[in-house]
Amino acid sequence: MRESDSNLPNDSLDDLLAQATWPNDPQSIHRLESQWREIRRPRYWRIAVPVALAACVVIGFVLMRAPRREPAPMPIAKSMPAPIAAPTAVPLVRPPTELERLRLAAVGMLPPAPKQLPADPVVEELIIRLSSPQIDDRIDAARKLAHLDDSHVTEKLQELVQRDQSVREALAVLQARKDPAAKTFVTSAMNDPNLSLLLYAVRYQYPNL
Amino acid sequence: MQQAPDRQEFDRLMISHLPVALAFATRLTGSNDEAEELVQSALLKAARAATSFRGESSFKTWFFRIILNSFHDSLAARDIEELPEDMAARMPSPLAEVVSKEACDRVTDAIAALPPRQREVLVLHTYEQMDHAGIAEMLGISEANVRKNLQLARDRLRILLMDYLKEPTRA
Repeated sequence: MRESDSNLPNDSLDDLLAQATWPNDPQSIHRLESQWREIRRPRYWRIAVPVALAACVVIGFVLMRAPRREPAPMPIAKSMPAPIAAPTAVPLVRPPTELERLRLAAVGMLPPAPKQLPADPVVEELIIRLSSPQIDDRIDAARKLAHLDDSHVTEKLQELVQRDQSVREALAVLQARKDPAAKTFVTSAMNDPNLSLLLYAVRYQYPNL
Repeated sequence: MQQAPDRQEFDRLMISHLPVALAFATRLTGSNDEAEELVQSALLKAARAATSFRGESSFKTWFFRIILNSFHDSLAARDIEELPEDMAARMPSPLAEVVSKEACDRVTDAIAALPPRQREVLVLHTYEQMDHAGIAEMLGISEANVRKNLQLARDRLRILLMDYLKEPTRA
């Protein structure tokens, strides 16, 4: 309650102030009531959203804390699998090149090293002459080798052919020789698509060795 | 000590206090439209602060404090914390024959022309019948400050309403 204003003058100001009125607009009161009811109207999403967020947090926490299933360990092989040999196609009469020898050595399929034949100076000289730039010299050497009765000649010629197939005189000598090793070589070479054509050509080029 | 009202009781108190709140706001602002906006703003704040009302003070005091805070906010927003000193110049000259309606309008205009703090103290003291201690608590100022603002308000009203006062004012 207001205390007595003993220090204020009791003049006509209070009477004049009492005359002042501020009538309320009923419409204003009605609007304010409606606004208040609207403000206070329960909004369920205000409850649902926090509850949903809390549920997500709880589910996430539970999932984080749940023990994880460890994956099954991979079986350990007791023995190493057998190596798969790379398919190689080495021609019958051609020796492997250096690169092929390295590859074959890597997979353990290196063929046995060629046997070192005993060196015969006469045979070696004739074989060298097969590559002479003079055709007469090459033909003369070929005729001598074709009729030389030495089993090592056939092997030496095979080595030469395997190293260098362009030495046609060597193929001609092998076709002309009568020993079984030479016949076997020619028979096998005829089955080789590269050598067979070369053998036919040499046969017509050197018919009378 | 009163108990904090439940939701329904709180709503009932608010609706029952809306007329006096609107009248209080009208005296503060001097305009029905501004008063309605002021009460609307106060209703939003009251809804957010409903849980802060624990019945320690009367509902009227609690809600009027919110209205005053909203009033201060609106003044700060409009940057008219201090009204121009020449507000008295806006007062129309009194007519020779003063009717009661016109006197009423002049009084309301004069109160609206007071600085905000003086207006608040005068309205709370004169029209809300609050004592100095209550006004000081509501406005967050000292009782001496309340007395000083009330005296300044009355002195200014005597000047503004000089022609309507029957007796000469005492300095």
